[in-house]
Amino acid sequence: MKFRADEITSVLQREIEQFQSEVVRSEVGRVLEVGDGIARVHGLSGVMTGEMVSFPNGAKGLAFNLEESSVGVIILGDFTQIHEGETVTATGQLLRVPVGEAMVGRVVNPLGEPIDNQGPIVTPHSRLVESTAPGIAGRQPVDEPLQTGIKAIDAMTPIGRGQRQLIIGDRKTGKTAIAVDAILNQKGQGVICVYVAVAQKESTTAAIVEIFRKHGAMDYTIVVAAGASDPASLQYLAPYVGTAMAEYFMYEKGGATLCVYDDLSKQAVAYRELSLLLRRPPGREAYPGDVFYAHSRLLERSAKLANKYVIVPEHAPVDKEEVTESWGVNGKVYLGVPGEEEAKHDLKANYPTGHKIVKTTRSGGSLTALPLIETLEGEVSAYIPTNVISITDGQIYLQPDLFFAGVRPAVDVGISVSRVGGKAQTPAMKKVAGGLRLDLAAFRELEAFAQLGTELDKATQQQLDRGYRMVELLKQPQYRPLHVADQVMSLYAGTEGYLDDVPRNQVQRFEAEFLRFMRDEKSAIRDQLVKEKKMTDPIVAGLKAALTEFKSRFRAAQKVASPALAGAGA
Amino acid sequence: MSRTEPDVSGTVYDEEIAHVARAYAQALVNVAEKTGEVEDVVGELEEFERDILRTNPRFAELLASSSVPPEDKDRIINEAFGGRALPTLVQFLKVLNHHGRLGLLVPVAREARALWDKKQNRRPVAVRSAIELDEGQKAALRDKVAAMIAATPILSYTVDPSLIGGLVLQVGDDLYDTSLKTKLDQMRRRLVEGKAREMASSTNLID
Repeated sequence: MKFRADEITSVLQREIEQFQSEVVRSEVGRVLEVGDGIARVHGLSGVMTGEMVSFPNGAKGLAFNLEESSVGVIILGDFTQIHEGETVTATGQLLRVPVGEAMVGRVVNPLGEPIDNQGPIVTPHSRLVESTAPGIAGRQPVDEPLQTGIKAIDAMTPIGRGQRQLIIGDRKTGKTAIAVDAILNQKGQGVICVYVAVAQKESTTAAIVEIFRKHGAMDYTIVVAAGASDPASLQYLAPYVGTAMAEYFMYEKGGATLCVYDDLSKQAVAYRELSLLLRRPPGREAYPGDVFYAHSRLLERSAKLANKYVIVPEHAPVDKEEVTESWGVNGKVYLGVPGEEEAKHDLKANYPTGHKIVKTTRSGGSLTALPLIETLEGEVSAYIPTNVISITDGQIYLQPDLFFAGVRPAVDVGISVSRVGGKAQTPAMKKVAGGLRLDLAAFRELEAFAQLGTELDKATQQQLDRGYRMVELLKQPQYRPLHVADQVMSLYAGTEGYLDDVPRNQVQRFEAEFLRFMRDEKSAIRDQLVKEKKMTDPIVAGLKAALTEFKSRFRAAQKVASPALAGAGA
Repeated sequence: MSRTEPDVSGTVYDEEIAHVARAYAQALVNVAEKTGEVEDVVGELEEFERDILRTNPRFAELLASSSVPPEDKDRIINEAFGGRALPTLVQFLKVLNHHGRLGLLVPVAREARALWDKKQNRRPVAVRSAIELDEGQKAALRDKVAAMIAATPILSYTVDPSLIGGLVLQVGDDLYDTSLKTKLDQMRRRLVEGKAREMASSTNLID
C-alpha cells in the first residue's frame, strides 16, 4: 500500500476551494424517551412518515408514528448510545440502500453495509427501501419456469419467474433446505438471488453462506442478514431491503431475480414488537392491524415485468448490442402481450419486408419470491400463515411426519399447490408429471386405507406399488439439484412403470445409475431433450429403448451383487 | 452535539398533561382577550410560577396536594392574591382549584404563553453563539431574524464555546446552523466519505 501525499493534498485543496459557506437549515426535535430500539421525539413537526432521521451518535432512525405532539422513531442501529434530550435531525430523505452489481457476492446488513469482512462496497446506485409495486400495465403473465432442481417441486408445484411461492411448515422440516437448493440450482441461469435471513441464528446464516460459497452460488447471490440479536427494526426492514436489491436487477437490467425471505413469521414478530412498543393497538395474536399490509406490499413487489418490443431492421445487431427503445424504426415501443400483438399488426401493415420485432434488452425482468413461514404444530390456520397463504400464488407445505419417515423433501402433495407455475412448466415436464400430483395424493389416501390390513384387489395393489416407488423416486438429497432433463427422464421411468418391479430400496440407486447411464452413454437423447424441452416421438422412443437396455443391465448387475436379494418384491 | 451533558430541560413532556393544560390555557386566553388584558394575565401567571412556585416548592406542593380541601385552597388563594393579582387570574386559579388541577400551573403557564405568542405572531427563537453577543449584534440579529421568519422573534441567548464560531438559531423545529463546528464536521465528512472513493479509483492511491 502506498499513498502519494501530493495527490491527497491536491484533492484536499480542491475540496476546500470548492467548499461553499452556506447556512445549514435542518429540522430538529428532541429525544423525549428512548429504549427497546424506539425513541419518542418531540418536535420534528414537518417530518414525513417513513423519513430517515439522524441521531447525534450517527445512528439512523425511521419516523414511524406521527402523533399530535411527538414522533415515534424506530432506531436502526445502536440505541444504547442515544440519550434523552439529544437533538434529532430530519434528513428529508426516505430510507435508501446501496444496490447494484457490487452487492453481488456480499453479505450485508439491512442498511446495505457489508458484514462479511471483505472491504467496503463501492456502488453508485441506490434504491428506496419501500417502493411501490409495478401496476397492471407494467406486468405480464408468468411464462418462464424457475427451476428449483427439486423433482417434487418442479414436477408437482412448479414455480414460474415472477411467482410468489410460499414454503410453509413446522420447524425442522426442511424449509430452508428447499430455498437453498433453489438458489444453488440457479447457477449459470443468469438469475440473481437474494437470500434474506431474518432473525436467524448467526451460526445458521454463516453455515448457509458457507454452503453458497462452496457451491459457487455466491457469484450470483446477495445475502441480507438481520441476526437474532439485531434490533427488531432491522429484522423488520430486511425483507424490504433484499427486495430493493433484487429490484435493481429486475428494473434496470431486465434480469431475472429470486428472493428468499427466511422467514416472514419472524419478520411479523419483529413488526409486532415495534408496533406494541409504539403503542399501536394490538389485534389478533397481538399483531398490529396492518401486518397483512406489511406482507402484501412486500410480496406485491414480486413481478414478471412486461416485455417491451420495438420494430427494427432485419440486419440490426440484436445479439451483439443492447437493444434500446430508441431502436424502433417508427419511434414506438410496444408494451406487454397486447403490445406484441399490436407490433405484429404494425409490422404486417407498414413493414412487409426487411423488419422484425425484438424485445428490448432491459425489459421483461422478473422477481420471484420464496417466502418462508414457520407454523406451530402444523397449524396453517394461524394468523400469519393464512395471511401469507392468501397473498402468495401457491404454497409448498412440508410435513414433519413425512420428514421423519425419510421422505425428503417432505412435501405434502395434498395441500401443496402452485396457482400459476403450471403455465410456465416446460412441455416435457408437463407431459411427464401431468397427473402425478393427483396420483400421489390418491396414493396417500389409499396407503392409509391399506394399513388397516384389508385384502386388496390386484389393481389397487398395483397402484400402491407404483405409489411407493414414486415416493422413493421423489426423494432427493440436499444440495443436489437436478437438471430439468434429468428430472424428466427419471420421472418418465417412474410414471411409465419401469420401476414397478424394482425393489423399493433399490429405486434411488436405479435412478442415480440410470441418469449416469443416460449422461455417459445416451447423451444424444439427453442433449436433444435439453434442447427441445418437449417429449417428441424420437425422444420418447429413444428413452424407451434406453430404459429397456439399462434395466436389463441393472438386473444383471443386481444378480451378481446379491443373488439372494434379486427379484425380491416390495 | 456534545456527548457529555445532554440538555434535558423541557424534555419531561407528558402528552396527556400537555393536552389538559392546553385546554385551560386556551380558556384563560379567550377570557382575558375579551377584556384586553391577556399580556398582563399571562405575564402575571408566569411571574407567579417563576417567583412563587419555583422559590417556594412547599407552597407549590400544598397547592397541588389533594389532601388539602379545595375550600382551604380557595381561602389561601383569596388571602395571597385577592386585590394583588388581576381578578381574571384569581378567578382562573379558583377554577383550576375546583377542578383539582392546581398541580398543572406550570404547564398551563407555558401553554398560555405559547398560545398567546402564536396569536400575536411572536415566535421564540433560541440563539446559540460561540461568544457573548453585544447589544448591537443582538439588535442586528433581531432585525434579520424578524425578516426571515416574518414574525416578531423572542430571542433567548446562550453561549456555547464548542461551536468555535458562528451562530445556531432554532425557530420552532427549524434549526439554522452557521457554526464553524458544523462546517468543519461537514467538510470532514465530505472528504472522508465522498472523496475516498474518487481517490481510490482515479489516482490509485491504494495499490
